[in-house]
Amino acid sequence: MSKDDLVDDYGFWGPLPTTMGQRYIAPEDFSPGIAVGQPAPNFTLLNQHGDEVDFHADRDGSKAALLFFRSAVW
Amino acid sequence: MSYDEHSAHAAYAEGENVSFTLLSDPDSRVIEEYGVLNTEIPAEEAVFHGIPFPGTFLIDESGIVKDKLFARHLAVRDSAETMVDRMLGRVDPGATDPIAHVRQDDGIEVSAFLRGGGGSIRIGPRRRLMVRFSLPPGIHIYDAPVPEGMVAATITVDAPEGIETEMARQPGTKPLVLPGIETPLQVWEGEVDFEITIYANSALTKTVSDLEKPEIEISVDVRYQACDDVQCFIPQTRRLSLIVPVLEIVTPNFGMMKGMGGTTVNMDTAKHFKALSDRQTAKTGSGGASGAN
Repeated sequence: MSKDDLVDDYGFWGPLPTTMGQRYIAPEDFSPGIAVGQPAPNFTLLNQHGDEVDFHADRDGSKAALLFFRSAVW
Repeated sequence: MSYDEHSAHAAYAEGENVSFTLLSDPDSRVIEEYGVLNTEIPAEEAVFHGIPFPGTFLIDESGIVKDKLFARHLAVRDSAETMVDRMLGRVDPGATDPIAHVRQDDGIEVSAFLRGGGGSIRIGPRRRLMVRFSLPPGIHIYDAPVPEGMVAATITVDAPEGIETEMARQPGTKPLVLPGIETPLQVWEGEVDFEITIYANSALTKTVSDLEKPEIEISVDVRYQACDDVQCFIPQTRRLSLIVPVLEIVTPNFGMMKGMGGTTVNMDTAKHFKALSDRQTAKTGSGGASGAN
């Protein structure tokens, strides 16, 4: 595997080849998922302490930034 | 939110002093419900299938999505500080932001400052390099194109290997009609901000490894010609230099992921990766627990 296969168009090196989905570079104006103006679906998931979080109930009327990330592990 | 187990989040939060809530979606059910499952990874890649496209939804008090922040590249995204800036519409320099000023005899002031990372840069997250012209009343500068003999304002960035820049936002211009010139010229007046997107890629690792101190110089060269209604002044070229500390990236502490430079994350990555890997392969394994819904 050549070095070029590991360096993407943005100049980032990674251990997996740039052709893999893990290193996907999205098209211009990429904006997946629930549209602006739509309600954010509720969910109940565990937090890092193992406690259940009921998203909308536990926000208790405050605003939220909901960030999706790949993994804390890899 | 990620598809990690909550125990992996616990280890990460403890090791990296994360105080905000980390949500565990091991079935990627919520990730799918929000429509952000990374569909570029085929289901056959059991360990990795289930991750989301990285990005942020900003949600108001009543639970409505007010904005979405997704980026083309996994690593080149807005920092938390930039997100807050955007929400508040704020562009003023913070106390720790690198800043440089020049003030001319003609009263024109130009400043450059770096927003979006507590005054520092590291590989990945985007920063905003702001260039602000403060023009006294009656004075204007020109956008291209200009007639022969006049100079349009230009901004160029001179930065070391590993720093990438792109003009993100030019302020709006006003038309100026001059006698003898058919099409109006486009000018800027008052206080105007140019926003340049700036980020560091992997090449910065090499740049920094050659330095004694992990900081780089980013220079902004501005060239412009100022005029008032009566006369034009001599074109000016000025350099604004910012000294920017470089922070190390944090990488997983196992196997091939270690080759990226920076410091390794303060958790037992290998253990949690094994657990994640076992869970993911069990989903599609021969036990009949198929991934199909």
